[in-house]
Amino acid sequence: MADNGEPAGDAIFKRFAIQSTPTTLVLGGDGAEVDWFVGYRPPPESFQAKLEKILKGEGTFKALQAAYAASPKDVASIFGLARKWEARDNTTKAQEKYREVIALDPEGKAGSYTDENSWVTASYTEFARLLLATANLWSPNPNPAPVKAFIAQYPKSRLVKVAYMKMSNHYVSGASKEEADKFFSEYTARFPDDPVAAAMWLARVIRDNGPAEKAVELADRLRELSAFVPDPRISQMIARAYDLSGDKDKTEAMYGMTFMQDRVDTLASNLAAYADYWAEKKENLESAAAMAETAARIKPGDPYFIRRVANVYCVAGQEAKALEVYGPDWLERSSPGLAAQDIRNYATFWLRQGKNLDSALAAAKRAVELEPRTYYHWTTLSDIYAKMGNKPEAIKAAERAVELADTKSKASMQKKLEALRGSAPVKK
Amino acid sequence: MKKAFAISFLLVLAATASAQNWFNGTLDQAVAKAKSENKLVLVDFYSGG
Repeated sequence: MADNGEPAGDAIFKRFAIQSTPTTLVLGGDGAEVDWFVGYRPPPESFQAKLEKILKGEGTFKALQAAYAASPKDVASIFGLARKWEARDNTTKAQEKYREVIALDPEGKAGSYTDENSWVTASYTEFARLLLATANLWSPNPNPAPVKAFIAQYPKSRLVKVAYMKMSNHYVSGASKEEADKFFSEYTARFPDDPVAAAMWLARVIRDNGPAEKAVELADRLRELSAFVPDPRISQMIARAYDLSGDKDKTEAMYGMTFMQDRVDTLASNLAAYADYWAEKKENLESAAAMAETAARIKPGDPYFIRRVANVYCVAGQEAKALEVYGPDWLERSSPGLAAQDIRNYATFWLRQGKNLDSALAAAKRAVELEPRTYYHWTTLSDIYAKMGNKPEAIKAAERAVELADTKSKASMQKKLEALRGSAPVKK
Repeated sequence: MKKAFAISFLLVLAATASAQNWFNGTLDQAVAKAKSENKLVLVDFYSGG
């Protein structure tokens, strides 16, 4: 492990021209590069899946090189090789391959590629031209002219939006104020509904500390564009714009306590929905449990989220863990602060699992104690007694439920009661 | 990104991706061993603290 016996670890970085870490490089028994990938993102299973793909030789550098050697005019392989080099920050080799793509297929008829960041699909040639054009935007002397030439050449390409977005970094921090004004006017006119265009312009105005009127104009526009899917990064920029104009109330309304609490609540709901989704499919349960636990952590004391965690554990067959988080101890600990409905939810949860029924029964009793005139607490109590085989008590509770039920529910309660009365005695 | 030039080698079985022991030695030794056992070498380039 590590660089034991390899004191000059940096020599290996140099040997393979590794630009960033983490990089995972796979070599063959001949010492030649088979494939690589840069960066790491959990879960570990996706890392493993990538390695397995390499073991199978699917889409590897080696496979692409072999395809290229077999047919040197295969644009897809050449483009694939360019992407591999680009992933490894080897711009020289990537550009060499992009140029080959353009030379072989100037009209862009050989096939298309979907970018995994923007999800835009365009021909290999269009991508090659854009990637060559944007290459120097991150150099010490960035020049947006080639990107503008790309836009002029492909005015209708789906990549035009990406081209503007890539240029906008330069105009936020590099170009003069006048150049930036001109660029962003053009960008927002061309893509009036694109929050990125407005946000990048606002970033520039904030950087220049004004003008405040422009900042507020862009902020108002951004508020509208991001109303349905508020993005905290954009909201902070909007708040900064209102800061420039000194409008404290608007800053507070946009980015105050309520805003962030809403985001937290939304996140918790999204995590729980994710957990429910995978629990229903009985797949990806480890991640589902982890996310449900995260939701429960960010909404402490909220029984709904703890129940989501327990649900995933039950689906995963880890009943002990479910009981640990949402079992009798939990009920006892939380009972004083719980509403009757929360206690009933606990009872119905375990009734549905068919487990932990003694505690479920105690909870159902507590719910009817707290709200004796709510018919459905009696229904739950009746259901649990029935499940436990205590028919007389089940009937008693069901009778009470019929008595209290509203007109809409009375008939179905009555039916339930009759079924209980008519059914054969349930053995304990 | 900080580079501590830490590297580890792993011989990857051609058939399964089950848990493996990291190889202790130089890169060239790892490659030679991989060749003799018909395996691949995973080189992990990472930054240390």
